[in-house]
Amino acid sequence: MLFVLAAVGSVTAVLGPSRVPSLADLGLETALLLPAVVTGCVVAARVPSSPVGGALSWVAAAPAAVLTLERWGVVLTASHPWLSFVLTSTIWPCLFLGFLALVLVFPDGLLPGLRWRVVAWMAPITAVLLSASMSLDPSNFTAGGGPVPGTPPISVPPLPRIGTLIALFGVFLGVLVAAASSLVVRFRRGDALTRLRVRWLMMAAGGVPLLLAAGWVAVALGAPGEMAFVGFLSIVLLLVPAAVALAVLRHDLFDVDRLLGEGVAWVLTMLCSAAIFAVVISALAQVLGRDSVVGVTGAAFVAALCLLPLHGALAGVVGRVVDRERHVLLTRVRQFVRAVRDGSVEPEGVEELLRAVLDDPDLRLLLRRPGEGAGMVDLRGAPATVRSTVLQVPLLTGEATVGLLALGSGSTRRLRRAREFAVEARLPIEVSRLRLELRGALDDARASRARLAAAGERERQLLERDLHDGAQQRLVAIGMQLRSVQRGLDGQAHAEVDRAVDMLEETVKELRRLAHGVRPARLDDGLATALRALKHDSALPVEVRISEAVAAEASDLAATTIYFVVAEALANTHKHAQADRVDVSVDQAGGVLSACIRDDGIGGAVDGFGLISLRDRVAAAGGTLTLESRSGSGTEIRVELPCGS
Amino acid sequence: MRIVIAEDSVLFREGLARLLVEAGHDVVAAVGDAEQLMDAVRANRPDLAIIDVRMPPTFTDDGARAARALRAELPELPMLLLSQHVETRHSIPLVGSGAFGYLLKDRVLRVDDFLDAVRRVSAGGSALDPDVVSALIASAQQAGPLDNLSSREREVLSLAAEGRTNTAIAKRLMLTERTVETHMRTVFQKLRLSGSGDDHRRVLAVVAYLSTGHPSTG
Repeated sequence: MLFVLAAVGSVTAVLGPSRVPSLADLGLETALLLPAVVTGCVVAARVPSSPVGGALSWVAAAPAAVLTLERWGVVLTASHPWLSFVLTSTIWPCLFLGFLALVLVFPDGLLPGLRWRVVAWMAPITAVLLSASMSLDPSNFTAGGGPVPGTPPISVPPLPRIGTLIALFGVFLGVLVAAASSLVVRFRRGDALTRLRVRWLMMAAGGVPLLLAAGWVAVALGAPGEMAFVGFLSIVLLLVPAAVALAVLRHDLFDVDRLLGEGVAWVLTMLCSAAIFAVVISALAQVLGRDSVVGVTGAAFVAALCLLPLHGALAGVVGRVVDRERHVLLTRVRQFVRAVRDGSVEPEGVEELLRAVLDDPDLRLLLRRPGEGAGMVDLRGAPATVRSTVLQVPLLTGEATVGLLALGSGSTRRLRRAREFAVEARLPIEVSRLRLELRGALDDARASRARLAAAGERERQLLERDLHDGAQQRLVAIGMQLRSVQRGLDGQAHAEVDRAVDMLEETVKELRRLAHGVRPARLDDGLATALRALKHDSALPVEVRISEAVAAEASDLAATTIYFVVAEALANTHKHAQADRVDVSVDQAGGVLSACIRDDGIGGAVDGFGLISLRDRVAAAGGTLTLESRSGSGTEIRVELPCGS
Repeated sequence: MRIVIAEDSVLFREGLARLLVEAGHDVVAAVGDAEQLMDAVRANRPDLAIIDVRMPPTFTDDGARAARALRAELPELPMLLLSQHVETRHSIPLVGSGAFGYLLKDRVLRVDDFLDAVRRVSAGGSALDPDVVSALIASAQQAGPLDNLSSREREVLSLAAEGRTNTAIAKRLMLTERTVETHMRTVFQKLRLSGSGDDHRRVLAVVAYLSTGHPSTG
């Protein structure tokens, strides 16, 4: 309702003056006022619940009313000279009223608090009183030498009149400052969205005093008043509505934080460098005399020199004040980077961190694996693809793209933040990438070592079979021939053949032992049987404990490896440990075959040649070997192997 | 005695056939793989089949599997398995049913011992390779009762497990048969086995004990 009233009022006010102005003036005024009305309409239509649309129309309604009154005032010049003077010359404080209302209720339509009602009421009252008291200045009237005919309706002595005027100016200024500070209050109390919206308005509103000042300067330099204040009016009537509409409808469209921060920083930079320029000029004038060219050039040089570093420092400070969230989030990213450097968190947490600071749960960090074309992988190394429609931030090293951030939702603002945070978080991203590479390389190495070990195992089985079925069998066959020949012999020759056959038998046994060393055939009967046979071979008392869980068909490679480790460990114990007994236990759980060989000997074993070859054998089968052998407390060897069953 | 030989190595097969023929046996068929073995046995109904464990086509345990199939088909057929190395999984299940032998191949060079084993098996007895017996003793699950045996008693036990008679054991250890009998009784008492004088049932009891760790219930 309020909105409709204000919109209709503003339009009729523009179009319905009591004196028809020139067509050009009408066009200009309509052009100035319509944007506010139109944006007000758009906002009210798109977000009916928001009173900002109505407030925007008020922004247009106030100047419209003022302009209408001015024209009316012109008509009244002859009949009511004082009223005409008020309406044409001193009504300007009312121009601010719409803008003040907008600032006070933006963006949720409510005053920031109950106490703010005072400000809301003071604004129109002070504006009216101010224009009235300004109009009582006798110097404006013919009696006092001014252009307005007649005398002021009320004659007030100069001292109280000027005192009141100054007081009212002060109050009005106070109201303006209070309205501006309401934005600050909202900014500090509000959530992220409110802050973002307030920033939009701050952006536009920041231009109001700036251009007002510029207008004053222009008037002082002799420019016509109307021309001088067109900029100010257009800010109020064009940019503010536009900014407000954006704030309500598409607050994420542009990077308002940066625009605001940069804008404020540049204004401050210019003010500071102007100050520096002035200070240097006056200082050099003191030293070198008044009209020195050196003074001006020197001052310009110093000011130019200071410009960029000054801007950098100011942008930092302003950024921290205007864009506090960014500063906080940036600090969080830096803390994470420091924690990664200290080793207290895993660098792979960077994806979660970026998701949190960019408020984007769908964000993904993808890395390019080296030497595999354009293939991207996620942080766990799984291949990942990303649709080309998704917003992406490429991560570059030199010319090469080493990864990318795929954003779940995009806007200019998010994209810029993502870029900035990606640069800040470069170290953990790079470390994650290198670790991924390293893991990949290690996996490859492990896989190839396992393949080699399996191939070696197959070779050993073949060799063993060849020994058994080839050489050994032939020797036995030769022995049988000798026995056959022996039947026809007697005496010396018979005994010779006996010896020859004995030697053959020994050779066959020797070959069997050799084949056994290659791959113990007793493993054909299972690991348990083979280990018990080892115990039988050992000169030391050995206790073998084999868990029920040990599968009879544990992989050949794992079983063979365990067998050789136990055999070698028993041999070492016998040779070096001076032990009285050895305990061997074998267990299987979760696809891991483990063995523990413990003796009660002197300990102090070190990684010698035997142990290193055992370690290699275990590693080749994809397992680990740990040795514990403190001097005086025995030796313990533990082996863990993947057994694939 | 009519014998079928299954052995893929021609050299060894011919040598073995010659050895047996010279000992007065009749080699009715000498074949090179498990399938031919089955055919030859069905066709000839021999008194004994001598079978190599490792044969074509897979070169793993085709001979042993053929032996199991033959035992199911012709339970009375005596069989002697030959192997290049000691393994217990093929020998133990079959030794229980009697008329079965398991020897390492190089035992044939001890011609007399080998022919003795051939005779024993074909007569329904057992012949277990000494290395197999010691592997059994080594891997016996419960070492306790075996540890209580004297070394002489162990020797007697081992020879009995190989399938030898008291007479053969006495001859081998240069003891009197009565002494061997006394040792056997002590061993059976210590292991809590219910044995008798029958050689075959004695082997069964000992082998069952060694491979399971418990006195046989059957």
